[in-house]
Amino acid sequence: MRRYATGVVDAAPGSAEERLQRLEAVTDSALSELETDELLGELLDRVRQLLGVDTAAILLLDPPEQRLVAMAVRGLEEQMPAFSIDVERGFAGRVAQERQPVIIEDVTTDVVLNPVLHDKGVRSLLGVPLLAAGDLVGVLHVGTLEPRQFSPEDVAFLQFVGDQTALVSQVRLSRLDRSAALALQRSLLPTRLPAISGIEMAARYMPGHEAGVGGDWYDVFGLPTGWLGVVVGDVSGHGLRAAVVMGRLRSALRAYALECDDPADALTRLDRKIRHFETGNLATALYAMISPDRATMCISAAGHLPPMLASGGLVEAVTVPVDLPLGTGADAPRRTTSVPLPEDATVVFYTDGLIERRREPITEGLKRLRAAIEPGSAEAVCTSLMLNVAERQPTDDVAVLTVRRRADHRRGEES
Amino acid sequence: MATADQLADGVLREVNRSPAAMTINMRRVSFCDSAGINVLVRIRNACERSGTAFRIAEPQPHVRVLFEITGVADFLNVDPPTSSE
Repeated sequence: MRRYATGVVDAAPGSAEERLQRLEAVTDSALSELETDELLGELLDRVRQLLGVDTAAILLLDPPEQRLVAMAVRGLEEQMPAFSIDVERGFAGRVAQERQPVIIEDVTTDVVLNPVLHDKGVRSLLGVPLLAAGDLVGVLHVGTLEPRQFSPEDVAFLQFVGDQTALVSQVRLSRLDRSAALALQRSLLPTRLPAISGIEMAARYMPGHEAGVGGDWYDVFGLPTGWLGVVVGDVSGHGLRAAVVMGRLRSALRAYALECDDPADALTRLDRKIRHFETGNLATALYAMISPDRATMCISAAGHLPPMLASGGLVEAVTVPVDLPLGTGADAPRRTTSVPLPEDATVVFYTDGLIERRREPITEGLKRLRAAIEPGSAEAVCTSLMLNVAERQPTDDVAVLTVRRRADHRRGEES
Repeated sequence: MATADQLADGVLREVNRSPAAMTINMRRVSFCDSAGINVLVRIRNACERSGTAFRIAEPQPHVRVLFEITGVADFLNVDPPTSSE
């Protein structure tokens, strides 16, 4: 590990000059070259040196678990393996709850859960919350073996370091979140669509530009009965969380698809699954089954925009009643609608990110979509939609799946 | 999205006091997407739990269209269009 000089010269302890040097030591540009984990360790080294404390630790909040996880530790606790504590307990927990600096000048067991701190005989503690945009992201605390009265300058200094740390950890987390979500999404979205007789397909997925990754998905699968399942859906929200829920819904719907001959039935089961196991998540989805002879499509829509059907020079939204989205908690019946799928017809499944724009009614987006669908291969239609309808840097995820019935497919040709 | 979340926080706090009725007037809402619908569904469900009558009043025509094409107009108890629409 690289070491950097702290650049601190002797100045009267507690003087304005000294405090300024303390700040500079922490904002040192050399620090920005370090990887996050190293950076946090380096910050703690400097904090220990500048505050003259024996131990320093940064704990970050793991929101789903509501636990504070030690990310970097220097001094007494360094020898301890990675630890985490309940966000409502111990000294760090108290800092997290109060969301302001906490000082304990004479430590007793009941406030310190960390056994190392206790065994080593830490006497005084100072902790500050790490806040990013008002949300608690973690806790930074320091301790001394000798009794210590932390000055207001000490507190202000540690809070300053805490603010820097919160910033660094947020940048790191959002970067991690984004790359993990993208990796997940890539693993879940079929990169190569299955070869299906009588059908030609193409798909595109583009993550939202600012919002990062979201919960849009599409799926295509052949069923043992010879029917073809086609799915497009959108889990509300963004980021890794939405992508993870999306993955579970996609798998669940595949499982239900194997057991159901009726799209409405499969979506009813998926809705029930969300209600019990994914409470609080709302999703839209559309499930279509295309018959073995490819001449019929049965569709059920759960709050999702109906697909466009292009056939014989006409482009129209498929007329299908749209039932409630998934996860509303209501027991409304779901419906399946059968529509003929003429030879050479192309069906365009999509998510709302393709057409919705701020400051514009959704009807305008639908018009633009309809106008951009021209006769051609499934691949050509997809390309045209991404070029002419999708925003170059969409703020919402965009998923598009085009399915074209080949003209040369004769009834009963397949299995 | 920030707007939708702000709305949720404020309104859900109100709903927790179990008022007899909660009307969301959307006259001045020019844009609504799935995030907005998500929030309205949460508010509507919270109202149901607290025994509060929920309705949506005066959505702009294109917001109404969004409610209709996403199948939530009845569920969210959106006021029927007036004759002038």
